[in-house]
Amino acid sequence: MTAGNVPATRWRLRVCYTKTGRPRFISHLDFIRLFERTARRVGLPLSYSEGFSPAPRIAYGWPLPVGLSGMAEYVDVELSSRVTPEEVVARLNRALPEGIQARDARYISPHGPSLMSEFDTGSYVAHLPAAGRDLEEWRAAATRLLSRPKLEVTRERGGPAGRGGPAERGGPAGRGGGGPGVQVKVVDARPLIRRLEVKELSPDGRVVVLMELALGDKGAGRPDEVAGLLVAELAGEGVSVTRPEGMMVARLGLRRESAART
Amino acid sequence: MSRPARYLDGEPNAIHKEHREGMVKFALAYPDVYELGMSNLGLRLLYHVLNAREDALCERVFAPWPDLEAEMRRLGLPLFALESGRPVRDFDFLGFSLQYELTYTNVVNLLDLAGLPLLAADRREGDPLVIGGGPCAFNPEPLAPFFDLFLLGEAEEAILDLAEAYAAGTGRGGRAGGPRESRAGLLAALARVPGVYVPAFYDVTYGDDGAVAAVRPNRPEAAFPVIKRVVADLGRHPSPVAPVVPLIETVHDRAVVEVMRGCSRGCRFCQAGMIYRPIRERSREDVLAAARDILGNTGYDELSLASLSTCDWGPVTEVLGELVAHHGPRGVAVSLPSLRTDTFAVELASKIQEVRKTGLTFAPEAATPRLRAVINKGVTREDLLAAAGSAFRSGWDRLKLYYMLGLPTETDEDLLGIAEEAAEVYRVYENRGQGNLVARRPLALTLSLATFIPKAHTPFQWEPQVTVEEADRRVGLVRQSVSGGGGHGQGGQGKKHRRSGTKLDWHGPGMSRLEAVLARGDRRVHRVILEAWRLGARFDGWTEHFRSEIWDRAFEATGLDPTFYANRQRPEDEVFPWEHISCGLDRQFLLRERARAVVAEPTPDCRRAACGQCGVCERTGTENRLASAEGRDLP
Repeated sequence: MTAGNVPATRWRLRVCYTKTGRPRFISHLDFIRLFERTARRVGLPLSYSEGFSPAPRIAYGWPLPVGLSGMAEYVDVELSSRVTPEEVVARLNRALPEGIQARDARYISPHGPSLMSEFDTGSYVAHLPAAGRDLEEWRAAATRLLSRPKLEVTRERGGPAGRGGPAERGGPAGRGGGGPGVQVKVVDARPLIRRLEVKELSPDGRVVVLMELALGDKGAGRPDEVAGLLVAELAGEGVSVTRPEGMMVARLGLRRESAART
Repeated sequence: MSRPARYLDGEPNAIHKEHREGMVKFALAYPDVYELGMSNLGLRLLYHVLNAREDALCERVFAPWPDLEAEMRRLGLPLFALESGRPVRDFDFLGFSLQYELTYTNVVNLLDLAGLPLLAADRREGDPLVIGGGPCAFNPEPLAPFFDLFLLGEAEEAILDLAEAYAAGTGRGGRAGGPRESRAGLLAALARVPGVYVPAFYDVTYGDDGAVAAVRPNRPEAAFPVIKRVVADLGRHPSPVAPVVPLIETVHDRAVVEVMRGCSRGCRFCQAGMIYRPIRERSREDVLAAARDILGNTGYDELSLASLSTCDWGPVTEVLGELVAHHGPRGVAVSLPSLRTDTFAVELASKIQEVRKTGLTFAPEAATPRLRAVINKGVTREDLLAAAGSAFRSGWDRLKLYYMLGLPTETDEDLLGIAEEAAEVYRVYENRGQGNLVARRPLALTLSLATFIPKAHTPFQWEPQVTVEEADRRVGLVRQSVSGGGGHGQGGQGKKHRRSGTKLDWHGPGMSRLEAVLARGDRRVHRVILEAWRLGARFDGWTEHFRSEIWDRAFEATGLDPTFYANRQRPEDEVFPWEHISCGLDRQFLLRERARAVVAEPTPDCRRAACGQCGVCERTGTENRLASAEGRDLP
C-alpha cells in the first residue's frame, strides 16, 4: 500500500463461527491473537492499517465469556482482494483448532455500522441441575425474579493468578508480583435481563433455561449471574449463589433488540 | 481455575502420534507454567527432533498451577502429557528442562504428581527413566538423587543417540537383539552415550571440613569427566520452523529464529557465556529462510532473532534490513532479545522501529570502569552514555539499566557509581537537543539490582556470595545514593523507590541466596529440596509463592547450613561438587581468568583476538564458526 495512492478497494467479510468444546476456555483476548495468526497462516490477503506499525483490519464482536460455548459468533475481516467466502471458510477451517469452526461468511458494505453496534442482545441457553424441583416451581421462580425491581450482584475485576513470574534474565530477577488488586463493584442486573424463560426439564434431570441479555458498553448481562439469581430465587430468600455448580451455558446467537443504531 | 487454556492441547502444529508398541516415548517436562515453558527454545527443538523420528514420540508436560494441583490431588489424577492426556508414568522417559534453580521443588512435585518414587534408587522396572538437561545440569548434584540420568550440553544429536541406545537395550523399534535389559543394565548402556551422566555410577565422599573430598566413578561405563555435547555444524539442525503456537499469551509470544550459539565475550560472571562455547553462527540464508517459514507456519506478527548476543551475530545489520523490508508491510515486527550497550545496538534497534513501543534495556552490570574490567564487561561509561544519547535522539524516553550487586572486589565506591552513572544519563537526556524524533517526555529511568550468584564453571566459582545482611546493607546504600542527590518526589517505601522518574528495583536477597545454594550445592542439598517440598514449597521463582521461612525450616531440619554453600570462599584446590562435569573449559583457564579479574585485567574476545586457551574447542572437537569467513567490522 503506497502512500498518496487512491485507497484500495476494501473487501469486508463477515465471518460467522462457532466456539465449542475445549476452546471455549480460550479468553476473548487470546481468541483475537489466535484468529489473527490463523488468518495469516492460511494466507488470507489481509488489509493492514497504515502508519508506524501496520495491523490487520479485523473487528471482533462482543466478548464471549470464558467457559461459554458460542454457536454463532462473528468477526469482520477486511481483505485487500476478493476471495470467495466459501474459500475463506474452507481455508480457515483447515487451520483453526478443533472446536472453533467458521460456519459461513458473506461480504458486507465496507461503510456499514461496526460489528459491535450491530448487536445489543445475546441469546443464551443454560442447563442447570433441576435440584429435584419440577418445571412449575422453576417457572414460578423465574416469574418472581423478573418481578423484582432491582437485582443487585457483586462483580469482581482484576487480580488474575499467575502473572509476573521468574526472570527471563540470568539473575534471580522476578518480574515482581503485585498486579492490580481485585476490585469489587455492585451492579443492578435486572435491566440487563431482556427475557428469561424456563423451557423444559430434560430427561437427564436438568432444567433448560433460555435467556436474552443486554450487550453493550453500558453493561452486559452475564448468564452465570442470572442463573445464580434464579437458583437463589428458587431456594428462597437470603440465599446467594454466584455460579451454580454443574451448569453448562452456550450463547446461541446475537441480535439487535432496539431499532435505532448508534 | 485460573487460565484453564494452559492445559488444553490442540494448539496449531502440536504433534499427535499414535502410541504404538515398540516406540520410544518421551514426556518432556518444563517444571514451571505453560506460559514460560512454551517460550523455551530448547524444549521446542527436542520436541521436533524426537517427533521427526518414525520410532519415537514426544509430548509436553508443564507444572500445574497450585489450583489445578489441588484439584488433581483431590481427584487422584496423575500428571499427564498434553497431547495424549496419558499419564506420564506410561512413557519411557520423563525429561526435565532445567533452566533455573528455583524450579527444583516443582521438579520434585511433578515426580510426585506422576506417581513415581521421588528417588531414582527407589524406582522399579517399568518406571520411566527420569532425565534432566539444560544449563542447571552443569551442576546437577543437588538434584542427582532424583534423577536416573542427565544429558550435558546440546541435546539434538545426543537425544537421538539415547533413543537409539534405549531401543537397542529394550528390543524396541524392530531391533532384534539379546534379552531385554534390566533397568540397571539399560542405564549402563545409556551411560556409554557421550554426554550422559548417571549419578548412581559415581560415589561422592566428604572431608572433615564438610566439603567434597572426592567424586569417583564406580562403574566402567562411567566417563570421568563427563564432557558436554556440542553440535559442531548448526547448519545440519535448522532452527525449528513449525513450533506449536500457543492458544494463550505466553511470555515470549512470538516467532523465534535462533541465529547463533555461544558467546565469546567472556564476561567472567556469566555462566551461559562459559558453558555454551564455542561460537557457532547460522548463515544469513538459513536465517532468512527460517524466518519466512516460521512466519508462514505460525502466523505470528512478531519475529525475534535469538542468541546470547544477537548484536554480535555477523550478518545482523543486513538481515534485519531485509526482514523489515520484506515482512514489515505485512504487519510483522522484528525484535532483538537483548541489546549490547553501544551506539551500534541502538542503531539496530532504531532500524527495527522499536522506538516508542518498548523501553530500552542495557546491562552495564557494574558502574565503575574498574569493576567492569574485573568482570570483563567491555563497556565504558562513554559507550553507555553514547548509547543512551543515541537512544534519546531516536525517541526513547524509557531506559532500564541492569546492575549486579556483590560482585567480587566490589566496594562501596562501586555501588555509589550507580547513582553517578544514573545522574550522567540524566545529563545526557537534558542535553539531547531537539528535533522531530527526539524524546519529549521526562525520562523514566529504572535501575535494576540483582545479587550476584557465583555460578559453577565460571572464573568466579571460588568466590563467596555476599551474605543476606551485607546484600541488604548494599541495597540500602544504593537506595540512599539514588534518592540522596536532591530532586523531588517522595521517599522510598517498600521495594521500590521513586524519585523524579528514577525507579530502583531489586530482588529479595533471600531468594538469591537460595539460588546460590542450589546452584553450588552438592548431593546432600537434595535433602533440603525434598524437605522444603514436603513443607509446601512450590514455584519458588515466583515472588508471590516464594516463602523463605519454609526454606529456613528445611535447612534446620536437615542440618545443612546455607552459608556453607553460598557464602564460603573456596580454596584454590577445592574439589567442587561438579568436579566430574565438564563444559570443556580448563580449570587452569578459569584460574587464569580469576587472577586477571583481581587485577582488573580484561581478556579480549577470542573471535576478534588471539585464542584465550579456554580449552573448549580441543575438548569438544569443535571450533568457532562464523557466518562469513571475512567476519565483520566488529567494534
